[in-house]
Amino acid sequence: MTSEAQTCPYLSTISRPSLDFDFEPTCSVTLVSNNIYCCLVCGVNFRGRSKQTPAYIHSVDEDHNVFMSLEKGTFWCLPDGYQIVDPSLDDITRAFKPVYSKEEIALIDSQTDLSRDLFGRRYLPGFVGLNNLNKTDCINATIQALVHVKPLRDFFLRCGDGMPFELILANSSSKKRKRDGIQKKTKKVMVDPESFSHLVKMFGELVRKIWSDKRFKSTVDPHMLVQAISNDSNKRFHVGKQIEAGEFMAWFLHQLHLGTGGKKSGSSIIYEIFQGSVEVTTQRHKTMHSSDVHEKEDDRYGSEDENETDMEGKEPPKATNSNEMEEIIHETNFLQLTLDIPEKPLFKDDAGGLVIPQEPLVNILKKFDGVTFSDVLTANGLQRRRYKVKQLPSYLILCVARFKQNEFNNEKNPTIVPFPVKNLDLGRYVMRSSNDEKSSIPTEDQVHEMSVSERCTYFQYFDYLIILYFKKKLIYLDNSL
Amino acid sequence: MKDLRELLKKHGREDLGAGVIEKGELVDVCINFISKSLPDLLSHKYDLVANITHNIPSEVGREGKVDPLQEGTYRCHVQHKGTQKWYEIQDLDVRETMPQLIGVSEAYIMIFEKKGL
Repeated sequence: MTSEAQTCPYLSTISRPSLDFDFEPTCSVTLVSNNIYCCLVCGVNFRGRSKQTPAYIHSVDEDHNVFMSLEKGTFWCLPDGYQIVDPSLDDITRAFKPVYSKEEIALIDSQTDLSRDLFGRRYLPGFVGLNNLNKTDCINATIQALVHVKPLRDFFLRCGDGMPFELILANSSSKKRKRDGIQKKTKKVMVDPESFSHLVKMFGELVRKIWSDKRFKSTVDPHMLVQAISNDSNKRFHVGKQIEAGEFMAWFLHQLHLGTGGKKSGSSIIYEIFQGSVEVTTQRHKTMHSSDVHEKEDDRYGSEDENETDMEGKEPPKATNSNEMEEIIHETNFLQLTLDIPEKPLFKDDAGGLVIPQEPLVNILKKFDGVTFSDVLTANGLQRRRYKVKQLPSYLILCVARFKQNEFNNEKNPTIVPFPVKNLDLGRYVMRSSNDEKSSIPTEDQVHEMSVSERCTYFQYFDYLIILYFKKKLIYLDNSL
Repeated sequence: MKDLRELLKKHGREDLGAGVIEKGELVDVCINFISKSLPDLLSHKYDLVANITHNIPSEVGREGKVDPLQEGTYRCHVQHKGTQKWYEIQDLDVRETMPQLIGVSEAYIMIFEKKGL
């Protein structure tokens, strides 16, 4: 083997359409998964390069001479055993492991040209189909959603060359620091893509493949990631079984967090992007071992009417109620907010059809306005909780709790939740900065002001559609204003 | 109208509504005021970047097929930032779609992006 031997007479035998790098590199003869070489003529993977290995035997038997190492991405000629360095093979390298420069990453969003694959099909990089490996559409949809989150995508595109780089994390997620009031503290973290977990590496590779404009085919196979997910979750998320997207999203984000070097309190790119915090006020009986009688009373309070909750809501958060309730305030971090939607109606409508109710997003977000109570069943009996968002992340994941398990099977709530595609205003759900924090519960006046400002923002909401004028006229006509 | 004046007063800008008599004018003044202070309001504004929906075929829930989770399919809506176009992706199928349709789809998971990042 000489290092000067760079060109190879067999390069013309390479058949690019039969190459597919989306699958797990396993030897087709021995099923081992390390030291794998891919035959560039027929696209089959074999182990080894030296004599007696399947790859060597294949090269002699079939007269296929060009191989590529799936670990290092180098090209070899077998059975002669010399390395090939040839610029005409660059397209294979790029299809195998796409690499992005900083400039390319910056420009990727403005790129609107369609790319062409080997078969002449056109595709838009970043908007490619993912193969469904028997009911893995949930994984596919989740991947597609995450892949379009800009900072996350850029992070993984940068990992392409495998070189460590510096990342600035602004979010100090350690709770102690937050309590001290130091909200923004940037720290530089060295990111070494080599240290990532297998799952994260697979995800990163998939991200790079989805956004690549030099692919051989216009679809991407998430096979390796699905495999990794299945392994890491102990088959909880497995091929052939539909999974619940909310559950999967939570698990997957957590795995990405751990895999990119995040710890329980330490920050990672995932926490940086998605983590916010919410203040939970729990109301419960002062006496922990409450008797049945007490609990019954509690139930009644919950169901009496809504005025009751409003009354309680107007009190300052730390005050204890007279009816032996105490409030505990604690703060938790979240990656996604789960929203409850009202139960679907039990009865059919006049026409005999099922009614599909509608509940605007603004309504179901009330769970987090710090005034509305939601009842939670816990081990200690019924608890009433009040949520108030303390800090919103730069990317907010909202999850609508649609599936419910009853005794027999899953039940789906088909309620349609209309939401604004642009300009979702979450200002009302966020605590005002430190000074105002105490008076976060609105007074009568403030409630009124809210309803007014809500109306005003309403037509900002809709200026995207053409409802603007309509709403404006309504305001003019409205006497109550 | 009275309320609107009160509101301006609260924000320390009663001067804006001082010389205004008609209601329509006052509303205009208020709108101007709001659009001027828009950058502040923007700090909590979010735009959708991705949306995962879950659809079940219509025959589910009748005879035999009972589990909506097992029968249903997921799809994803994502936006191309360069062209502002929305795409609906279901596995291998990628097609363009209208943003108006996304807002009323059976949304399951939504990812919002903070404005002005």
